Amino acid sequence: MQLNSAAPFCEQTPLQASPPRTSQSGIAAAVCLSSLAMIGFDAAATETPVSAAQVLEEGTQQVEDKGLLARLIDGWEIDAALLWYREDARVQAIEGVLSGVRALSDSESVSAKIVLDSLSGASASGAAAQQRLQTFTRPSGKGEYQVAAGETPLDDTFKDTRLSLSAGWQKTLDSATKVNAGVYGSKEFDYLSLGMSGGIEWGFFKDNTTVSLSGALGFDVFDAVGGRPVPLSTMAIRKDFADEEAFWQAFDATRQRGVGDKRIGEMMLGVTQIISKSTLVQFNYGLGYSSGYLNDPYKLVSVLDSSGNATHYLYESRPDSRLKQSAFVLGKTAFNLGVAEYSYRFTHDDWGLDSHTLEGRYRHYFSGKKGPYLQLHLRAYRQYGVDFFTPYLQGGESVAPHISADYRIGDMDTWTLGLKTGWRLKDGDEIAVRLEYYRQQPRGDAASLEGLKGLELYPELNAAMLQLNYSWN
Amino acid sequence: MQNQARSDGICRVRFTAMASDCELLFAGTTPEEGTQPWLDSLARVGTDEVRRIEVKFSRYLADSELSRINAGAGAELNIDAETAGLLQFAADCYRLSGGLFDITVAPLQRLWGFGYSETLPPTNADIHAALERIGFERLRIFEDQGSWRLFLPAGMSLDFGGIAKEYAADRALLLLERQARALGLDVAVLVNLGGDIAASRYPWRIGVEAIGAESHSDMLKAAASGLIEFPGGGLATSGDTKRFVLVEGKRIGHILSPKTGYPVPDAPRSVTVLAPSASAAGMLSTMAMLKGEGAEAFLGGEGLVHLVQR
Repeated sequence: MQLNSAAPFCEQTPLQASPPRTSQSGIAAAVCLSSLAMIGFDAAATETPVSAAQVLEEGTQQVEDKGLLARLIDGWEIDAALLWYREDARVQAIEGVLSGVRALSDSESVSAKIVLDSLSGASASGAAAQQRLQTFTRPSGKGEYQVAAGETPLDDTFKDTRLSLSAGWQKTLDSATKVNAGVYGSKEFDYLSLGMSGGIEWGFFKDNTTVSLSGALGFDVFDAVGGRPVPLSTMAIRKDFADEEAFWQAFDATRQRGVGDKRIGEMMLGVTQIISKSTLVQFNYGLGYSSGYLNDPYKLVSVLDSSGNATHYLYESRPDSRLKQSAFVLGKTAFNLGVAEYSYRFTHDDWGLDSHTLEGRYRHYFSGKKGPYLQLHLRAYRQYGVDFFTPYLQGGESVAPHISADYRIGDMDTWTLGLKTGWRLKDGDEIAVRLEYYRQQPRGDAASLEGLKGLELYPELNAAMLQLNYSWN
Repeated sequence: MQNQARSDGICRVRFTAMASDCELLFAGTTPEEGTQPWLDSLARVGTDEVRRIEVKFSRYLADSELSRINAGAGAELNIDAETAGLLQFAADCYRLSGGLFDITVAPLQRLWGFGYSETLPPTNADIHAALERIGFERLRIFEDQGSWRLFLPAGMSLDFGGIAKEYAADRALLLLERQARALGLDVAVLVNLGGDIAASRYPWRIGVEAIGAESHSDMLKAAASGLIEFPGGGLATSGDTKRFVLVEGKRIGHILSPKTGYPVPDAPRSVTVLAPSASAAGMLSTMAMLKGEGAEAFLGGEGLVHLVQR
């Protein structure tokens, strides 16, 4: 407790004489009398006031009888979700999410989230398909895998489990200002990511306009299996070497010491404007900068001879910094029994990647807002790949300082079609089911090389996802 | 709120409770400056009482008495004399406000979703469903062989949010005055729980934050310095300073009418009232808010010293 001896008081003015006051209905007098009766109640317990510590102690003793789980989730609004994701012949993922919000007071709340992902399957390594069998060294150097003729080379050792934890805090300072802060951490086998964020929101013009400013800092550490490849070095393959020792010497020469790290800084400025009773628009501008190790250590680029056959493979090389900008506009309209949301996003970065996203959602309520609903989701995305994207290199050409054949940063179009439905159970809990179909179509020039005839250089990808949600209210 | 001190010394004890900044002020015959043992013991009596009430009647503590009552909805429960006293006061206020002040309004408040990212107003159907679980008149409170019992219908819940803080201020003041008398001290005490004030009779002067140009006041005149005269008793403010609903990103007052299910139209931004106790002041300022555009007429008609900001 702080004791402050206070500053001197200013000269007191005498109280002004007031006109006589009379109550017309006696409500105030009745409220006053009733309040005095309430305050004057006196149970023996409060004659010697119980200390809060004592009350809390007694309270905790009572709580001890409850199960640990019940104690942990008391006062939290808990939301659980399970998601299955499956790509045709490639990656499968199962994700479990548990999130909760707890109000501390009318103006303050905390939130927490746990996400567990389990991925398995294979993702394209960037090497080009061939008309004959191809052999690749595993990232650890221990062993190799083969890809059949005509198949897109996939890195088949793709298995990972990721655990992410995040926590947030939100507080309303006054009727026009809200602040929030959060921390985040995730760990997977070869990757650790840590971050923190903070934001503030101001309301203007009777809150018809809201301005928000937020920022985030992140730090990632990449501890790749078998060490990080030296960018642009040639993959060592066992059959090219006389003995095991020579191979390992060559393999080690393609590896860098130590872990790679990446630092990320992001900021976002947003304005939300109410247009009418049922419509609002939102504009966001975002700026993100990352620097450090930005390569994917498992991605390759094939080097082809003049007839299109692979002679060797290089590890990809990306710049060590990236500046991204994004502009986003969203509209939201409420109807009698539904809500529509439509948005456009443009992103641009200094690697030369530009993207355009058009997205729309319409949710229809069959009865009130808490009743069952059906939601339709459509999304179209077009990406113009980075300047240094190349599906393969041709032998004899000089190699640029930065190259990547990672389809994810090449030219592509994707479409998403989704349906979601949800309803409320008798006891107030809510269930939702979401089913989405996703199609990805990389774009690129047809190959003119003999050896690539009839091969799929830009394989399409189809995926489906099913998500179940349950909220305890 | 800020307080000035007299040259003959006002001792101030600051603490945090009920999610607010709180303070106790002691004025009058102050012994030596510093950490007098009597002040410590007095301060402890006040803060302990406030915290006791907080842990007993908080909605946000899962093991509070209020949470126990709400968890027992649908059955008859034993309640203690203090809880019965609060319910009796709530019953009187429900009746005196013609059903506008109702401590069972929680389902409606949840629907309007305070402070979270609710972006669309609830539909009429939702509001009707919530109104079905509201209505103080559906409670049964009765005495049975010297002990109190409460029947809270299933699906309903109580929220003492509009009463507990002011009640805690009044109780803390009562115990402090009692304790001071027992110690033979002649001090005036002021308890300030985040702007809800209960104080002994004494010419206090209180700083009021941000009085807008559009304020309408009857008698509660703020000097140019922002100080007002406060003779003791209770002073409380209701308003949307920290609590509001977001609808389509727009904040509207947290004063919901249990009759319509919608926020009260034309409610003032804040209402400050002087009364003999903090509980009465808080209740009368809330009732004025519930009157919407009739707030000033109600306060004037009741002959209350007040300040309305729009």
